[in-house]
Parts: sequence; structure tokens; C-alpha cells
Amino acid sequence: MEIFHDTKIDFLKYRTPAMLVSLVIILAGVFMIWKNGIRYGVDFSGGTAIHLKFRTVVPLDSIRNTLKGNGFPDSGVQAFNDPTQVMVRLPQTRVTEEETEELAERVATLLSANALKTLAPQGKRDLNSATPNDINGYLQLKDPWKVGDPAKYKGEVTKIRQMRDANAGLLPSFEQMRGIDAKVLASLKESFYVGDLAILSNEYVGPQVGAELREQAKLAIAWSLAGLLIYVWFRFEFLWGLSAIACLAHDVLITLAFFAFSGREISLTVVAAFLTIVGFSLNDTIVIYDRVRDNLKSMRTQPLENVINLSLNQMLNRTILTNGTVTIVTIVLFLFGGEVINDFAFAMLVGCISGTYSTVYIASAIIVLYNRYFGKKRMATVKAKAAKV
Amino acid sequence: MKNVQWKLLMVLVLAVIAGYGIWPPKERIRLGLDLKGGIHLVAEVKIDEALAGYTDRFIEVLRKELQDKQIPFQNILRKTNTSFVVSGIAPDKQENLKKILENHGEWDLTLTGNEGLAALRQAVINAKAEEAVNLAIRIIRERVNRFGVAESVVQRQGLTGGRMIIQLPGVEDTERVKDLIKNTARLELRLVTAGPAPSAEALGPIPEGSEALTHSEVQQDGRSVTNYYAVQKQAIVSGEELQAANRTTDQYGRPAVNFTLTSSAGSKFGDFTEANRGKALAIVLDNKVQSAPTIQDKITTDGIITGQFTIEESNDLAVMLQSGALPAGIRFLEQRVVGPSLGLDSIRKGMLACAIGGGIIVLFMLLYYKFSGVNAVTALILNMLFLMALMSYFEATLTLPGIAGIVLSIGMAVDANVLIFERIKEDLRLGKTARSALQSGFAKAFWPIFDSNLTTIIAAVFLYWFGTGPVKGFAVTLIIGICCSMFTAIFVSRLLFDWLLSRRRKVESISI
Repeated sequence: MEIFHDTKIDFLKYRTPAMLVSLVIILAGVFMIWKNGIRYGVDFSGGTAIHLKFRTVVPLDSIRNTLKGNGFPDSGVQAFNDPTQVMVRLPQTRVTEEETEELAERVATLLSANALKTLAPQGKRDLNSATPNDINGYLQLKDPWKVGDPAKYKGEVTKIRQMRDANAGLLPSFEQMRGIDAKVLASLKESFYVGDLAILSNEYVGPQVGAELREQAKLAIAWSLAGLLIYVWFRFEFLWGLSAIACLAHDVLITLAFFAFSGREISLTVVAAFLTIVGFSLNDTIVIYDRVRDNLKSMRTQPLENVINLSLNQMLNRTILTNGTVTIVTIVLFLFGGEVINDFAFAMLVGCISGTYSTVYIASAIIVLYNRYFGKKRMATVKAKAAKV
Repeated sequence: MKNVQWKLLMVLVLAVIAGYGIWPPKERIRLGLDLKGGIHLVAEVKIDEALAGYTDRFIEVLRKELQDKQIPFQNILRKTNTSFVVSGIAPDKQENLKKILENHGEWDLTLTGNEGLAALRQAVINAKAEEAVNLAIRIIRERVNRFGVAESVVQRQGLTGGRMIIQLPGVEDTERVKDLIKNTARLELRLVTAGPAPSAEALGPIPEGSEALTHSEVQQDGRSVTNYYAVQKQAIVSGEELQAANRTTDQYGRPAVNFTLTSSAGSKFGDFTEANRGKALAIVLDNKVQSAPTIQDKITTDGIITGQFTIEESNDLAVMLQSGALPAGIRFLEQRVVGPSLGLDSIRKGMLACAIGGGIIVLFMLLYYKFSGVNAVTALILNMLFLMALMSYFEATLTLPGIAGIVLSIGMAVDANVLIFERIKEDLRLGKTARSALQSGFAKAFWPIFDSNLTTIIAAVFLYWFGTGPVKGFAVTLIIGICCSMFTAIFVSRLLFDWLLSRRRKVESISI
């Protein structure tokens, strides 16, 4: 089976409009970033991020207003794909390390009272936020089975815990907790209620750590790019190495631009996605470079442009197959991967498409352009090198 | 042909070893906190506090020594964390002060008028700071272990500075664990000189060598009441002289902690209590009075700390006393708490996405390359198997960014197969025989695969070096993944072809 056979598409013909499109996207992204700044996640900016899950859909505005009107004027609320989940961000200035949990609890109580309108029954605690230890301790004390052996309740506690974990942290109402002993439930009901909001995660990053993580991520990226440049230089040609780096920078900038457009935040996980993009795009570029070098051996009299075009056509099936499957996988990851890796999958998706495209219109196009304007001498060394390999 | 069979056997043996290595997967694959739920903390030892404490203790030693040698001085005050000023010392006695400090060998003295400024030497500061950090890490590790967290990690971050990373998978009681880590737990038994009184003023003038400490209690009606005691600064016995501490109950059945002193401290304490019958003894924990019972009789090695503890608090206090007091306070710089349901959700959705994605890849390869696709899929499955086995061997943890690394390495493994197969196809089209097309296809595809994989490894190595946390996790899985994929895509895949060809004498075509 074959998708394409013996195609003769003149890919490089469209390089000028393609590069313009890239330039426009990057400039628009840079403009957005210049205007609004890069949106850093809690990893890099510091502060507190609380990931909440509601039982029902709560309008974002109602959450925002509740927080703003109750002592959190500078809070930020971010939506997820799942409309019942939100991320509440509190900036650095509001937190001291000591009160992170209390802060999360306070936000949760505030929201359930005002945005959800579920008031906690007097003197009762939310069973959703009770730890297994708490529940176990409580049951041991109450001893609803009158067995005198406190260890007996472990099984019921485990069941409750598993039920809660499987339901995104929100237990069903007491009546719907199937499989839990009736006496145990009756006993729990005396002192607990089942709330409609759960804290899924809670992160605090100090100001100094945030700045350091940012520095380290930059350093890591810079050094690895330098390493790549040296290797490609060694294996191919300095100019080719530079073009490869330019193409990687292009992919990262394009992805950054799309992050700016969609208002997504840069977190450590997103940095990992950027690195994945860089790796993937580089792989694509090198594979094409290799074919170009290979073809240069037999086509020494042809203009470089033709050689690159031929190589791209020869590799078309491979490009469609590999990049196609990986792109499909990232689409699946984006659609079904869950909230936590959604930003990651988004970055991958943009990066995959950009990485495929940039091999042709950035990495190859730069070489062709350079060759056209500064020409002959450089090509001679490339061809000489190609002949040796 | 024999050769092929041997190689095949080797791959099979490797696969069996790998399979054995990751069985059962639930236990062998370590999941990161983002997938499993738990607490990640970055804590910093307040080194300044430890140094100030060291200086303070030295000042007391020096004060006593000056008094013993009858060298008159006005006062000794700590100036910075690592320096102090001795004031009002007569010029003719300054030589003596100098000599005393020289004997201790840690302080540089500068004399001006009738004042002496002593500063801790830099080398000593560094050593003390290092000592404090190492001690704090050791103590926290012990507390976490005694608390009973499986797979917990307490390790220093970087080679200098006071930072440590604490990872506690599966723990949900954030506040309890943080208290357990953070509390200094300095236990002291000191003599009460006045009190209790409802306010510090009501204590009257505090005697020389004593200080006012608080004691808080929640009364039956739920109101919290704070009382003040004047307590001697000098402790009779302190926490370092403990031999054991255990959870227990007091005479009313309420949770408490009992402790046993070492025998030398016990005899010292015995003498003291015998001589001070009828006086009140304060049990001071982190500069707060826990209780102040009256000494009824001679007490030697055993004591009990009562207070308003829950069972858990008494347990944690026993753990803290048993592990020893921290040399300084702890500050939390970073804290990530992931609930178990979020981790579960991430795993479930991640698995679903991987299954769909993997299914699509397999389908594609089989449809497009027909029988050779089976070969590629086999190589991919082996790739995953080896990857997981190596991760479990190196005890690497699987995190979300780690999964990203795996996705990339699988993408590159697929690419390697596609590159090889496309080359083979091209050569078949040129009219080469199956055997020679295979030969040249693998040979020609080798270099681009090698180049692209090696560049990625180079990048990953730098990321591992400079990266932190998630970035490091990404780099580790990527490096391992690429090594595995090079092996399976080039070596194993070739081997499978060779094996198939070796079973047939005449090969006209291959299904590709």
C-alpha cells in the first residue's frame, strides 16, 4: 500500500508566503506577550493554585465575584474543559507558607457557601475532606457495631475512600453509598455531611523557588539547543545546524504564540511539552537533511532547491505516516487525556503540526535562501562533505 | 542461519527477564506524586536560626567562664547571628578575654576601647551550617520513616544551602505531616520560679536567669485560657538526654507521652528532684509550658508529658522526641498536594488516551505495511516492555512529563520503522530482490535514525543535567526510551525479517 507515489510537488515554491504566515503568527504572539506578559503557572510565578471540583456546573463569574467580594480581590479563576472543574489562583502576596492548607479550605468553604449555596449543617464536617484516618478514628470512637474491636472498621473506611477516589473526590449522598454498612452510614450521618465541592490538588510555590525554576528551565533549554547545534554542525554543516536551531526556535515560538492566544499558562509540564516538540521537530529535520545529503551525492550538478524538493517528495510517505500518526495520538491525548495534561497535549498538537511544516519552510528554506544569496563557496563544502559520507 | 536463531533466543530471554522485572506492574512501576497523589515539599532549614542558637549557647558558656575566672564585664549581647559584643571589660582584663576565646578556637576578637567584638570564623560558620542541615535532614528522615510512609524521599537539594526535597506518596494528612516535619520538638525540664499567673505582669518581677513562658489550655466550656509561668532559663534536663519516648495514657486515660532519660541524666534529675521537693517543674516543649506538676518525690529516669493531646498528636510527639530536636526551624518553600482522586483520574484518562493512540498506531502499521507491520508492532511492544523494565530497574518514577517522554520515544520508534520500511520499498521498486532490498534498506536507514536519536539523547542529557523535577523525569524516560527503541527498531526488527527469510529457501517478495 502506498499513499503517494512518485509525487513531484514543488514544496519550496511556496516558501515566501509560508514564511510570511509564520512571521505573522509569531509577531502576533510576541505582541500578545508584550502586551499581557507571559502567563506563567504557579510553578514559575509563585503563589497558590487550588484545583477544585464541583458537583454541578458553577458559572465562572459567580466564582470570581464570590472570591473578589470576600477578601480575595486579586484572585484568578481558570476554566478547564470539564465545566465542573476550576483552578483558583492566589498571588504570592496573599500567602505565607504556614497557611496554605487553611487558605485552600477557606476558599472551598467560601465557594460552597456562596457559589453553591450549600451551607454546612451546624457542627458537621464534610465527609469529602475527611481523611481515612479521621473517618476511622471517628468510627472507632462511636463504635456503631458495638464490636469493641476498633480495627474492624478499616474495611468500611477503605470502601468509602475508594468510592470517593473513583468519583473525582465527591462522594454520592449517604442514601446512594451502596455497599457501605447501614449502621456505619447512620453513625457517620450524625457528625458528617456530604458536600458538593472537593479540593483535588493544592500547590504552593514560594517566590524564590518560582524564579529559580524559571531560570533552570531556561538554562536547560539553552544548553540542550547548544548541544544540538554542535552535533548537527559536526555531522552536517554549521549553516545546517543553525537552520535546524532556527526551525526549533520557530516551533517553540509558534507554540508560545498559540498559548498566548488561548490564554493558557506555562507550567513545568508545558516546558516538558516544549522539549518534546523540540525533540520531535529535530528528528523530522534531521531525517530530511540526511536524505538531502544522500541525494547531493548523485545530483551534484542540480541546484540545491531541486535536490531538496526531490528529497521532500521521496520522504512524503514517511512524513505523512510518522507525523500523521503522532499528530493523531496528540489529538487523542488532547481530547481524552484529562484536565491535568490538557495544556501539555495542546502544546504537543501545535508543536507537531508546526514541526512538520518547519522542516520544509524554515530549515530547508533557510538553506536555499542562504545558498541563493551567499552561494557557491558554501555549497562546495557541503557537497565535498556529502561525497565523503 | 544458526546465528539468527541464537540472536532470537537472546531477544526472547531478554524479553522474559524484562517481563519478570516488571511483574507485578502495580508494585514495580513507581508512580510519581502527580499520578499517585501525595505530598511534595521543598523545605529549607533556617540556617541563620541555627547559627544564632549556636552563638547564644556560646554566650552562656562564656558568661559562666568569665564569672568563674572573676573577670568583670558589663554585658554580653549577640550582635548578628554569628557575632557578639562583650561590653564594659577593663583594658587590663582584655588579654584574658582574648585568651579564653583563643582557647575555644572559633572566634576572632576585635577590641575597641572597653568593648570586644567576637565574630565566628567563616570556616566555622560553614561547618556549623553544614552540620545543622545534615542533622535536620537526618532527623526529618527519621520522623518520616517512623510516621510510616512507604517510598518516602527526604534528600538534600543541591550540594550547598539548606534545602531539601521531601516526597510522601499517598499521604493525605497534609497538616499533620507538615507539623511533624516542621516542629522543632525541643523538650526541656526546667524549674518554675513563679506562676501560674493570668498575665506576664501578674508574675511580678521575673528573677535573674528566668523568663516568662506561656501555657495554653482549652477548658471544659471550650474557651482557651493562657497562663504565664516564670521558668529558669537553664534546663535541668533536655531532649538530647532522652533514651526513649512512647505514646501512652495518663491516669485518666487521656493520651500522653512517656519518656525515659539516659541513666546519667536520670541520676542528675534524681538528685535535683530530691532537693527540690514541693517546687513546680515545667515540662517545656518548644518554649511553651506543656504542664507544670509539683515535684512530689524523687524522680529518676521516667517521666510523662500530659497535655491536651489527641491520640495522633501524642503519637506524633513521641515520634518527634524519639527522633530528636531539629537544630533550627524549617521553612516550606514549595508545597504540592495532589489528591488521590486527581491522580486516579489522570491515570485513567492517560491510559485511555494511550490505548486509543496505541491502537491507532498499530492499526496504521498493520494496514499500511501488512505483514511487515506485524514485525514493527512486535518491535514496538518489545520496546515498551524493555522501557518499563529499565525504568523499574533504575527505580525511576513515572510522572506525567515522563509519559510525554515515552510518547516521544514511541513516536521515534515508529519513525525508525517507517524510515526502514520506506527505504526497503524504494529498493524493491527499483527491482532489487527481497533479500538485498532488506539489506540495503536497513543499511541506508541506519544513519538518519542514528543521527536523529543521538541528537535527541544529547538534548535529553543536558535537560537531565540542568533540569529539575518534571523536566528531569522527562529526560530520564526519553533517554531510556530512545535506547530501547534503537535496539528494537534496528536490531530486533531486522532479526525478525532475517528469521522469516531463513525459514524459506526462495524469497520472491516480502509483504510490505
